[in-house]
This record gives sequence, C-alpha cells and structure tokens, in this order.
Amino acid sequence: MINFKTFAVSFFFILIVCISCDTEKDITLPLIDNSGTLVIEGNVTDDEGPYFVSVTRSLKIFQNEEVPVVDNAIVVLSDNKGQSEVLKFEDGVYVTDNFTSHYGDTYSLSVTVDGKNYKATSTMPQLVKLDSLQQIKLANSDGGNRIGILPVFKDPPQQGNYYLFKKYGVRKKYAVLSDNLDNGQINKRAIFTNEYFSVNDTVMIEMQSVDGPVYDYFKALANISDEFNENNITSNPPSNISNGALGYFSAHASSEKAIIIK
Amino acid sequence: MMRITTMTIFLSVLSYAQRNYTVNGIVKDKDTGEIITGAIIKIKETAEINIQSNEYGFYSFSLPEGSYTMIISDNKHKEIIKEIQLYNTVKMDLNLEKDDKLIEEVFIRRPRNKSVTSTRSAAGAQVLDIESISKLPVLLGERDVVKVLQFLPGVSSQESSMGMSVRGGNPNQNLFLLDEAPVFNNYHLLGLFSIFNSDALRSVTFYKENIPSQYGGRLSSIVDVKMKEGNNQNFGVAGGIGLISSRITVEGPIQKGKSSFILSARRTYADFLINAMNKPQADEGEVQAKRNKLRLYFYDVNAKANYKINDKNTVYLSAYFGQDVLNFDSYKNNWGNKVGTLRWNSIISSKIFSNTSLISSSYSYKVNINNANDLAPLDINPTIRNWILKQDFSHYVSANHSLRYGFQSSYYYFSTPNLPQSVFSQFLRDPRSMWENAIYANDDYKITDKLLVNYGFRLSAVSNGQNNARSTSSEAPSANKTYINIEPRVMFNYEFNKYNKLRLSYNRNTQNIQTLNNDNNTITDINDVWINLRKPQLADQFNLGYTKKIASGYEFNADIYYKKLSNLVDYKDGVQMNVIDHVDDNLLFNGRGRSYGLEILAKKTTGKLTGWISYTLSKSERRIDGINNGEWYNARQDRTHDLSIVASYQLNPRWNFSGAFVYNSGNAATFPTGQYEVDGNTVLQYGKRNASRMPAYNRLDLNVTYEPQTTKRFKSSWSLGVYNIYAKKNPFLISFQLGINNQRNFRAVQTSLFTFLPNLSYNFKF
Repeated sequence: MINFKTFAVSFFFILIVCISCDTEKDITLPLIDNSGTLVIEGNVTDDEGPYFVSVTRSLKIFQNEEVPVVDNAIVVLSDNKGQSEVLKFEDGVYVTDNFTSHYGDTYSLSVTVDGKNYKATSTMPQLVKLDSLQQIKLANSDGGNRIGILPVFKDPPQQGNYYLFKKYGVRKKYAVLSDNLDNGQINKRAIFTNEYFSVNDTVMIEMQSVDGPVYDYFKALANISDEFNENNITSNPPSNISNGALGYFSAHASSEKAIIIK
Repeated sequence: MMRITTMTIFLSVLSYAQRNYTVNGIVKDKDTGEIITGAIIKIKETAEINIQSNEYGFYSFSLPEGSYTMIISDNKHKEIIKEIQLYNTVKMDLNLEKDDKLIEEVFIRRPRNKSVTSTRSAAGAQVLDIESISKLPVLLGERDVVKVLQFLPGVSSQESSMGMSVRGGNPNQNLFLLDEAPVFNNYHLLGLFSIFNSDALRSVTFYKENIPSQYGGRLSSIVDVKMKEGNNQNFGVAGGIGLISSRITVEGPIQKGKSSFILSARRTYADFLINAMNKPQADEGEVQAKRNKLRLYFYDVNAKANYKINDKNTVYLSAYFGQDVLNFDSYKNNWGNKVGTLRWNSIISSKIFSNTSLISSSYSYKVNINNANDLAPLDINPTIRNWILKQDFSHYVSANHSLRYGFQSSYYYFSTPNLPQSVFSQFLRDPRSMWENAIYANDDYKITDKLLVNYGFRLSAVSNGQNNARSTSSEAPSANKTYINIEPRVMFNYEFNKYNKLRLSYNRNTQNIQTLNNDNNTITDINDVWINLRKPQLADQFNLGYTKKIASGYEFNADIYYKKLSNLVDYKDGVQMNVIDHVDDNLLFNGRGRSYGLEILAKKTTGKLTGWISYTLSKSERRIDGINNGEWYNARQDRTHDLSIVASYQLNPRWNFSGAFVYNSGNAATFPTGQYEVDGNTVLQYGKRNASRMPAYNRLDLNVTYEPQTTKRFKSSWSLGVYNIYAKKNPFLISFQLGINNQRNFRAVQTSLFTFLPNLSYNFKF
C-alpha cells in the first residue's frame, strides 16, 4: 500500500538538501546613520587618582577605524564637599591632577563640547570586598559540564547595594548582582554561567560596588554586548549622562581576584 | 443609555411577530450525518426568505399559511428542492448529498468544478473550506488551516510561524477557538504546525472586520474552528503519512443515525531521523553525545462525541490534548494545551435555538530558567487556566429579524505550580486571577431585500482578583477594580444587485489578557507568558468593503479599514524579557496604536483553474510614553505591501497542480545606527525603535496531487511539493556580528530558514 522505499529515500533527500544549504550569508542593507554622537566615559574610583574621563564620538557601523577622540572639551569634575577641578587633556584622555575620592561622596561631571553641556552625577558606595572566587560546576539534568564563577562576598545589612563584575579578556564581559533577593547574605549566586571556560584559564574578575544608575547601565550593556541574545529590546543602555550622550559616569569602590580554572 | 436604546429596539422586534408558521430543523450531510453550516435556504415564492444554517446547522424561518418551494443549496452538496404545505409548525431536518460523487461524470461534460477555499459569509467573515485546503502547496506537506489564513489579505506572518498579525495587530490579539474553547498557544514544533489537525475539522470561520457580539476578548480577529461531529452512519478511517509526521482519524456511529464519535491523533518523528543522522563522533565522549541529543516532537489528540437525547436535545463533548517537547543541550521548552467543551444544543421552540457550553482550557509550558539562587537551571511551569460558562440563543423572530443573545462568564487563573522554593520572583510565586463577564445581543435585521444590518452590543466587565497590586509602577491601576466596557457593533450590508455589494461596519473590541513576548518572531518566542492586564485594551475599527461578482466565476473584493487602539502595553527600552524579573516594572502602559490599509482579494472560483490574488497595502503604528520620545513609530508587524497568489489547476479528476507565490515588504526592525567604544569594548549604537526595515521576502511553492482511481470504499492521494522552488534566501533573522577578537569589523549576517524544501505525503481514507 505504502511505498516505504520512496518514503525513506525522499526523507533523506530532504535532510541532505537542508544540511547542505547554507543558511547564513553576509548582506548589505540600508541603515540609519547616527554616527558622530558624543560618547563620554568617566570613572572615579576608591584608589588614589588620577581619574580619567574620555570623550569620543561614535562611528558608522561598517567603518573600520579608530573612534575619533574629542580634544576640545571642557571637562570639570566636582564633589559635594566643594572640591572642583578642570581636567587636562593628555594622551587622548582627560586627567585629574590632585582630585581625591571618599566613600559615600557624590561626584559630578560636566563636559562641554562645542557649546553643548553634558552632566552626570554618581555616588561612590562603601566598599564591599570580594573575598574569593570559586569555580562552580553547573550540573544540569542533561549531564552538561558548564562552569560558572561564584564570587564570595558578604552583602551589608542595609538594602540597596549594587555590584558590577568585569571579566577581563580580549573583550570585557559584564555581570551584575543586586541585593534585592538576598539582602545581608553571603552571595550564593554564580555569574558568567553562559561563558565557556577552558582548563588552566586564568580568570581575572573585578568587583565594583556601584550606585543604582550605573548598575542599570551595565545590566543593559551586558545584554547588548551579547550578540546572540535575541530576547533583548535593542536600545542604548540608559545613560546617567544628560543631553543624549552615550556612555556613563561611575563613582565606584573596587576589588579584584583571579582564579585558575581546573 | 446606549444599552437602554438597544434593548428597546430588541423588545419592539419581539412584539413584531405575526401569526406565521415556522419551519425549522438541522441541515446535515446525508452520508455522514455531519452538520452543515452556512447552507443557503431560499423560498422560490418569496425573495424575503434567504437564510443560512447557523454554526450548529440549525435553521428556522416563518411564513404565512400556504404552499412553498424550498431550495436548499451548499457549495459541496447537491441542491435539493422540497415542496412544503405550511399550515402548522414544521420540524424538518434536511439531509444533503455530497456533490463529489458526480464530479467524474460532470467533469467531462462541463467543467463545473467548483473549488472555493474561502467564501465570505453574510457577516463579512471568511469561511474556509477544509477539503480544498488539502490541495494547496504547504511547507513539508502539512496542510494547515492557519497557513491558509496567512494567504488572505490583512493577515501577515513570519516564515514558519503560526503567529499572525491581523490588520497590524499583535499576534496575541487573535482569539483561536476550538469548539468554542479558547486556545492559548496554537503552535506546534517551532511554529511549523498549528494545533489544528485538519482531519478533525469541520469548519473554520475567520472574523477580522465585523466581529459579531457573541465573540469578544481580542482586538484583532477571531478564528472560530469547529471540529467534525463524526460519521453517524458508517465507520471510517482516514490518515496520512508525511515526511515528518503521521496522523490517523477514526470515526463512526455510537447509535446509527443518532450519535457519533471521532478520534484523531498526530505524532511527529523528525527528531528520530535527525538524531540518527547525527551519530555521535568517536572523540565526542559520552557526555557530549548525550548533550547533543535532540528531542523535538509533538503529539496531539482530538476527540469528540455527541449523543442525541431526543429530537430537540443533543449533547456534545469535545476535547483536545496536545504536548510539545523540545529539549536540546541544556535548553528545555515543553508546552501543551488541554481543552474541553461540554455542550448542550436545545431546540427550545421552533424559533429559538439554545447552545449552552461549559468550557475548560489550560495552557502550561515548562521551561528551564537560570535562577539567580540556583547553580543549575531550574524547570518552571507557568500555567494559565480558564473556565467558561456560556449561554447563547439564536432567536428567529420573523423573516426580517434574527437575534443572537446570551452571556459568557469566564474565570482565569494564572499560576506556577510546583515552583521551587528557591525562586523568589513574585511574578511567578503569586497566583493571579481574573473574572471576565459579558452579556451580548445582536440582531440581523433585513430592512429591505437589499439592505441588511447587523447591530448589537457586548457589555463586558473585567475584574482582577487578589495579588494583582504588587507593582511599584504608578501607571498600573489598582487591583479589584472592575472595568465595564460597552462594545457597540454595527454592520450595514447593501446589495445593489446579485453582483454588487457594499459593506460598512464599526466595531469596538476589548482585550484583558496578553502575552509577554517581544514579537520578535524568533524561535524563542514560542513560549508565550500570558498575563492579565489591569486595564482593558480597546480597539475601534471602521471598515468599508465592496464585493463584485462576475457571472463567469470571478469575484473581486476590496476593503479599507481604520483601527484605533488604546491602553496598549509594551516593554521598556533595554530590558530583557524574563519571567524571573519584575515583569510589571519592565512594562510601559497606556500606549496607543493606529492601523489602516487597503485590502484586495480577487478570486476565480470555477473552472479547471481556480485561485486568488490577495494584496494588502497597510500601515500600523504605536505611540507610548517612554519609547521614541513619545512619537508615533512603526509597529514591529508594520508591512507596507503584502501579496499572495494562490492557484490550483485540476487537470483531470486524478491530477491537480497548485502553486503559491508570496511577496511582502519586510517588517519594521531595530537595527544598529552606529558603533562606539566603551570600556575598551566596541558596542553597537541604536536609534529609534523599529525605525529600520527587514529586506523584502518572496518565494514560490509548487505542489502536485495525484489521486488514483478510487473505489467507493477506499480513497487515497499522493502529494509531492517543493517549498521555495527557486531557493530564495529570505531573511529570517539579521544579526550584526563583531569580528574575531573584538576587532572593529562588523558584518550584517542574514539567517534564512527554508530554501528548496521538497515534501511527499500519502493520504488515505476508507
């Protein structure tokens, strides 16, 4: 009744056709061009200065060159204790001279380029120290052998602490944690669980205590950086800088640890 | 006020009734006992009577004493003529004989070969013919009603997706009803199949312009799918064997001529073969081999039985159960619907037909999540349950008025059973509930022979239960508030003559639940999370339509529409869609939408060559505070041009050739607008949401069906087809990829799904 031979032959025909056809190709398509947008990146850390602010511009998407540095900006850093300094332009970045930082202080950044002013503020939280890093095997039901990194630190009793983790490498990777779920506890949550690690890799991780807006910025940046994550709404991370500039201004306290993957 | 006026009109209608005698009954297929919906009943002596059997096959009309000639016709059946002497109420069931037995003889003499895939009902709905669908070319040979809907004007879809956007609406704004029960996820197998098994279906009616008031709860469209009743004369078996799935249907009488059952099941097996092809490599190791094993299948079962208590009362029980399994590596996504309807049809009097339904529908999916407090991914199982009590009356008051009225009471319960203790997400932890109640009435009023108006209203009330007020968002209205909406609906249908018709309609619809997905139409979208909204979304739609028929079997339809939407909800910029998150805080409320367009449908319905050309020119936009500075922007599903050409050529009774060509503009998309450097990383810069556009899409599918000489007992057919015959690499997804080692060297990479995909299937029936 049914010709099973025909059936089997054609099914495999399908699979072969499907496997041999290559489903990805490079294309060109019309894109909106927003290049030339100002990008500001400023950091005040709990280390001794100098502190750096970079001012650059964005490029066209397929433009394969160094980002243009803005050298004529007036960059002013100040705090809520009356400290204020105009930064000097040196080697492509704006640098402080004798600006000092303290936990709990609020810092303001003002950048003026071609008559347009961009402002941001950020508060440096108290330092929460990264005690150690642990390698965690993510045993899942399918017997996979993924690895995650567990940053060991104790969250302070008061609510509202935000943490940013940077994994150093060719391309920096970000992870964020907040104490909304486990306030005051020793952290049990692994990070970088979707990264691939190899045995003998030295993984360097910096933990920063940041304020809410900086946390929001890097949480979104982590999603955008991950090109294969299709569940994101594609938009620029919410910047704490006014007037439509890209980038961020962060006052943070930081500590660093390394781990060798076994 | 509106409501009082409407009621007054209805009451005056009731007092209209004169001393006439009524003829009523059920229209059925003679051989199978299947109910026939939309059979046309006319009286030779008076043009006043021109009615259609309702969705339960019931008809009723009243005339003064006298003798009349009744003409009953239907697309797929032979016309019958009955002489009646009317001096009393007559209860008469009409049994029509199938036309197809004659095709062979008829064919040679005159090619009267009618092949109508969709027809337009009086209410402006599209009624699909299940049988003629089987000859259309389809992906992998799996005929599917939803795929046919996607060929109609005003309906746009992504390749391989069962989600469809109707007139610029979101995919979750379509209500799919299976024997009156709402189905919350109509996908199977990555969206290649819909859950509707054509073998088990009797009719599909698609409403997008004038949605009669007995339906409600969605903004864009209603797809009303009715299952077969089962043959109450003889046992029968039908089935099909395809490349990736097989199916079988058994039907037969419980009591001959009185009651029947049907049982239909499907199962796919693509994964067996894919796994067999992907034999583990020698150096891969056991763990790796286990990880790479793909589990990808679905099965579903449709079952229905009816029992005729007496001439006037019949009960029906229908059920659907389906389960999808997709496991690969650590990714897991399983989902299923369970749907059941207990229905009681009662002929209360010669003029009043009652349908009472008790409905249960549940949809649950299992997905693994990376919960912050657990090292391994956890399985969670969000579920939506819905119970409905529905009472509907069809009241054939007089020759000029037929009423539909009733109520619907619906309870929703959203929960995540067996949630691990370590998951803190309040969204998953707290069950939510909602009541949705409605009363409705509408009147088909034949003002003159040429002018028909259907007017009515739906009064809907929605109230949320406990645990719905935990959002910190100030935009979210408080819980326990009841929202009441009056949804007026009116349609004028003016028939200049037999060949020219004009329709004008206004509709208001509301929607109280929606899915949380980003309408990205990527494969990950299949797990819809349904949430109840705190404020009903509203849609107001105006439609003007014109139909011209030409005697030689051509038909031309044109429609223009304008739709206004309010209280829409969308995701904030830059948030990740994740049920673990604070879902409410990631949403924006009080959005508005507008869509408008022109739809053209030209059909050829008789002859060897039949088919249609469908073209849509449209625009769909949204506006919401927090996106694109509060300016109007394109909805994701906004598509300027959408063209489908479907043709079927019946060479002779054995050979049929068919083809479909599709061309459409790309959907709106958010592509990067630049790149910049932050913290040493190169990052993509984005501009306004949905400001760019995907490239256009086109493909041609061809199919040939061979039906060997049939005996009366056994019928079979072979179907061979090719999807996308010229192997066009259409865009399914475009991603922007950075060069290796963070080098600033972006590429735009287009992923295509199906290029030149042949299929073969074998179908049988005995």
